[in-house]
Order: sequence, then C-alpha cells, then structure tokens
Amino acid sequence: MPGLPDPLETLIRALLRWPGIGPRSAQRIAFHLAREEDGELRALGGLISGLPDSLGSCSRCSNFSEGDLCPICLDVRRDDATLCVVEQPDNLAAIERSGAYRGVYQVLGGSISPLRGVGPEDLRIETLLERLSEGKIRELILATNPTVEGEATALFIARKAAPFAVSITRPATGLPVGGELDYVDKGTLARAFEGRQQVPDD
Amino acid sequence: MLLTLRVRAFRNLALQEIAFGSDLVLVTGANAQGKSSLLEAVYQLATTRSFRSRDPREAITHGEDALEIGGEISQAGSPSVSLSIGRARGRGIRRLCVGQYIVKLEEYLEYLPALVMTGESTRSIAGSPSERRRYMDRATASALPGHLPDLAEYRKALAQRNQLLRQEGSDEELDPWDRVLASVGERIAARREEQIRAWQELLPQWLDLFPEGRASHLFYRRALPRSMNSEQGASTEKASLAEGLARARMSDRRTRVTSVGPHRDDLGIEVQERDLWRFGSAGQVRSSVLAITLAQARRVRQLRPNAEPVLILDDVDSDLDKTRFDALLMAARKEGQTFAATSKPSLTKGLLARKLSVEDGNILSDDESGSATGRP
Ligand SMILES: [Zn+2]
Repeated sequence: MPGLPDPLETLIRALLRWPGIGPRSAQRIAFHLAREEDGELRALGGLISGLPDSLGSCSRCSNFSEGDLCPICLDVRRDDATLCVVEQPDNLAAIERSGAYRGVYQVLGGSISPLRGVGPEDLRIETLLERLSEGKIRELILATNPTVEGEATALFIARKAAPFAVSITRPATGLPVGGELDYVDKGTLARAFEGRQQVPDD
Repeated sequence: MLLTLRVRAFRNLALQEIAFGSDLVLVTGANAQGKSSLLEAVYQLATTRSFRSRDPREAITHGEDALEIGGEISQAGSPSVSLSIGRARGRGIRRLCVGQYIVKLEEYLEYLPALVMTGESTRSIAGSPSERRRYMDRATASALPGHLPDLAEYRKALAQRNQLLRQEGSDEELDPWDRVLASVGERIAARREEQIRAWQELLPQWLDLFPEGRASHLFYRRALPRSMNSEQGASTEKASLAEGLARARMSDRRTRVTSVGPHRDDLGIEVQERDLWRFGSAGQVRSSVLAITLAQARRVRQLRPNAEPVLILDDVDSDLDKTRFDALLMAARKEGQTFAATSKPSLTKGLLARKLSVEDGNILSDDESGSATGRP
C-alpha cells in the first residue's frame, strides 16, 4: 500500500499470511493495533512470543496442551474405548463444540498429500497404531476432512488398523465436499457423528 | 429467460446495459467487434466459466482490475431475480450474487443452465478427445450440477496419484488413491453414460438438421487397460474402474501417469458403424454436434424443469444456408432462450427476434444502429 510507514507495511504483510485474512482485514487489524495503547500491545506481544514455551502438545493425542497431557486425555470421564482421528487440533475443537462426542482423540498433524510432500510417515499414524495395539480401543472413528486427501488418509489408516479388529467408522456424508471439518456447523457435525458408518474393507 | 445484461470491464465491451426480452437474440457485426464477447458474457454470467479461455479472468479488460457482469432472469412461476458475478485479477477473487446475497457456487448454478456451440468447438470436437470430454462434461454438469464438484475432486485425486507414481510410491500408498479415484470416477462415468443414452434417444428429433440422426449410435467409450480389452472384447459393461486401475498399475508405474479413468474416456459416435469423428465429413460432424447440443438442452429441461436453459451459438453458420440456419434457430429456441452470433446479417432476415449489432464494443439495438451504413 502506498504512503504507509514501513512498520505498518511489514505488519500488514505478516498478517496476510494468517488464515482467513485478506488485504482488507489485514489493514484493519494493523490499524487497530497501531491505535492500541503501549501496555495492551506489550501484553499481546508477550502472549504471542511466550507461546513456544507455554504451549506444547499432548504426549498421547498431540492436541495442544499446556502440560504433558491435554485436558481431554486427563479427563477420566471420557470414554477411552472410542478413539477419533482428526487432522488438526482445529478439527478436534470443532467436534468438541458440537458436543456429540465423548471419546478421546488422535491428532494426525495433516493428511496424506504426495503433491505437498506429505507421506504417511509424516503423520502420527505409528503413534495411533501403538495406541490400538494396547487393546483398549473398540471403535476407531476416522474424522479426517471431507477432501480427497482426507479420504485417502482415512482409507490408508483403515487398512493399517484392520489387524486390530476394532470397529472402524467414518462420519456420515452430508458434510460439504472439499470442506474442512471446522467450518461445518454444530448440528451438521453432530448428525454426521451420530450417523457414522462402517468403512468397508477393500 | 435472461431479460437484461450489464457488463463492466468485460473484454472490449463498453460499459452498458442491454435489454433482451425475446427467446431469440441475434447478434451481428464484423469480426473482432465484440459479438463473441457478448455471448461469452452471457455464458459467464450463467456458468461462471468461459467457453473462450480456460481462465475466465482473461476476460477482464486490459488495464482494469476487475470485471462485473449482471443480469435479470425471469423464472416460471416466481418473481424475476438478478444474478451478478464479479471477478478480480491477482488472487482470483470471485463474488457471486443472487439478488443482494453473496452465494456459493453450488447455489448460484441453480439459476441459469447454459449450453454453448461455437464454430471452433464443432471443428475441434472431431479432432480432440479432451475437447469431447469437456463438451460432455459441460452438458452433464448443466443437467446434473453435482457433476462439477466430482470433477474437481477427481482432478485432485488424479494429480495426487500421478505425483505418487512419479516419486515411486509403494503399493500401500497407491491403494487409497486408487479407491478414491475409483469411487469418484465411477460416479462421473455413470453420469456421462446416463446423459449419452438420453441424448441418443433424443437425436432423431432433429433429422432436418442431422439427417443421419436415426442411423447413428452415440456411446461412452471407457479407457481400459489392454489386458481387459482383449479379454472382454467390446463388452466393457462389467469392468469396474477399481479393477482397471489395479490392472494398469504396473504399466502406470513405468509411464508415471494414470492411464485409465474418466480423464481418458471418450464420447463416440458411429454412423452406420463408421466412426464419425474420424471418417465423417466436416458438415456431418458439425450437424451431429448441433443435434447433440439440442439434445443436451432438452435433457437439461427434462431433469431441471424449473431452470430453463440458455443456448449460445457463436459463429456456427460458416457453411449453413439460410434454410438450415433458420431451422437450427427454430429448433434451438424451442429448447431455451437462444443467443446466436453471425457475421452475415443476411442470415437474420425475416426472423422474429431481438436483433443487436456490435461495433467496436458498443452493443446497438437494430433501430439504433440504423441501416447497413452502421454509424451515423
Ligand atoms: Zn491428549
């Protein structure tokens, strides 16, 4: 943008890399920050720069976590015989919001995509299989995104999990094609979970 | 029916709004004045796509940042509604509106299905299987809008499988992509097959345009691995795509590209058991494509009784005489509002229609443009 001081320009460019932020929102946020008081800005900066130290990932499910285990893995009331596989913590948060699920999770960290150079070994599939081998889990829900990459990832995992003889399901269709789990509204997500279907063997 | 059209920064067209108000709109003008651009604007308003370039953003006027097309459509039994599409350069921002609401593509496409024939496409269809696939997919998607998201998914999955073939991925890694491709691919092939069967049945309706209509056989040709072709001969009915992909895998690994599936399938037509694309005369090919397109429009009406299609005929008259041109237009307007462009004003004589001429990007209605001299 012409006529903007360098610090603002740089900030706008940094904000543009954030998800869902277009040029107009980036400018609005940057201008808002520029008008903010010193104390507020330093507090916000501290929050952001402190993240690497304050936030880690759960040693069991890889959800974001402050301590070794995330609140879900620590919660004894959760049903640990049901395991739901998601791509990212965002998806987990969306499912939690829907209130339709009381089991535990495994966050994969993405989906298989040869074009982006992501293979099965780059996802936490080995961790998942180890958890299955402990013998406690009876149902595995493959809630990867309804994209071709999510679908292929689910099928890959279903094949790998077959020897453990657990029930393998996938949330019902009706999710928008090519969408992402966290953009789906609560009701739709809850229905998709309730109507989950067995993944057929090939 | 499209009642009005408004364009801004669309190719060489001047900023303007035109009223149509007829089920037949004839556009005349010398070459490069903007006839095709006018039809393209109608098509882009209806489908968000272009029939002239892969990237619809190419239609943004040179030196402008964004184009806008808008139009009012009448609907049987309900009030008229306005559609508009805005498209910007750069990051390819697209805004689709119905009335005052921004809508998603799926919803937008509910309103105005469109079919297009151009002089160029009738020629290239004979020579190019990929052109034929585009031709059948455009019509299939107009009749069954669910076809489009499937095509997009299929393209993504195909690109992933091909990448995996290039990087010599394991069988275990290829398997899930084969399954995804097979399930989306079967849906695509089934829809195409269903449409082709319907077009075939409808073809004899237009014998005056395509006299061979009764003796011709329209069919869907599936690309299958060689081993399956030789075993099953011509009867490929039972061969599944899953099986085809499995059998082709070895050779696909060598060539590093997926050799079976809807991206290799084809639309075939035989007249008295002779392949029309290869052995038909230019005239036969053109009239078969015209008749098939009319059948496509009829099929859209059958499947979507609430959405009347528009037919766009750009420069299809190259070797049609006046009688056959008239017959084509009469047949087309029965299937939906028809927009036809020709560089031969004599062809439009005696036709009851809205007549427009285009000069240097300005669209003039017949009475405004005056007689043969054009500009005052
Ligand atoms: Zn956890």
